[in-house]
Amino acid sequence: MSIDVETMGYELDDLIRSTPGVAALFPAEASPLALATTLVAGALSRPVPASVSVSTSPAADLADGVEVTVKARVAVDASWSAAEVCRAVHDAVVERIAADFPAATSIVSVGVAQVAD
Amino acid sequence: MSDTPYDSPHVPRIDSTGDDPTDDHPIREAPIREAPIRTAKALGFEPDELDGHTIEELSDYLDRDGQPVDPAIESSPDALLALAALRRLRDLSGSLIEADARAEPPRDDSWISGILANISIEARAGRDIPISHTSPTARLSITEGAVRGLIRAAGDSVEGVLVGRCRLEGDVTIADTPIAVTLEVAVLWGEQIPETTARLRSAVYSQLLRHTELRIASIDITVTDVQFSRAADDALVVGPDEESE
Repeated sequence: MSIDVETMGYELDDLIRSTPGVAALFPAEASPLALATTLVAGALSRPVPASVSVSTSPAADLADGVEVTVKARVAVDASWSAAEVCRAVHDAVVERIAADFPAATSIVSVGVAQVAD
Repeated sequence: MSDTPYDSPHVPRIDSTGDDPTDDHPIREAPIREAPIRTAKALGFEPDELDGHTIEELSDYLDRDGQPVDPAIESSPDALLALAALRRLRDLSGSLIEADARAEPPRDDSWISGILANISIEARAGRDIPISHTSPTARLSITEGAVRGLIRAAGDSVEGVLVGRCRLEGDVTIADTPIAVTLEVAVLWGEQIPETTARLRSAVYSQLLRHTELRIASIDITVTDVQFSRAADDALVVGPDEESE
């Protein structure tokens, strides 16, 4: 099994933006220091051009035990519930990863950074 | 008044000189500012705040009607929260500024400077407030800045109220911790303060209930100022008998 984090990033970007109640998706926070630390530790982690941060550990090409970490920051339309939309985004991402990579474990962080009028 | 929100009487902008560079509103017949507006630095604004944007820069962006589009601003939740608050403040305070312009003697507008300072502080992301999920691997949250933004929006939506300051007191990072919301507001002259604050409290509570899982122990509101609206100012000048004719 191989996980292309860049492709996954783009796919999840589209998926999250199309989740009902999501008004916007903010750029992923990629700390150069954290990135370097992760690379030194031997894991594959890199920011992708999409707004979703995707990283895998311990390596992307291991068939078993791959852990996929996804981070996204969204704005929620005020006519929806921010908490409900946040959960919906999480569930959609987990479902997509499970469908594409059944052996992977996903850790998904979703932060609501704005409730937009 | 124009239909475009950006054409409404402007909120005094804050620059490094303490001058208001857009001080050209035609309705303004008298100087409304006796005390100089404090400088950006004095108000605590730093260039690295709001994702690298100053409140002055955001005010300029509003003046330009968001043109040309600045991707750095449009992709920053902190800057967008501040912009939304500035836009509402600009709309709400327009009539107040007009009334100020005709008032004798000119009144101090430091209350607007104070609101601008608070917007800058409150728009920052702050603490992460947890949102629950049944999955142990879920990491869900809403930023404190987003919550303060929706509280401010709820408050500004209540007629006769202008939110000055908003705080969340208590450890919001731990679920089910009792949280006190404290608000400082200005109320327009003529409003029944008990009724107005009751409507404000209800509006804020319903928004927090809708969007967050915070356990709200109290919503404490302090009315720090009473402001004249343009309508109230006219009523004082014309008088109720003449107005009804």
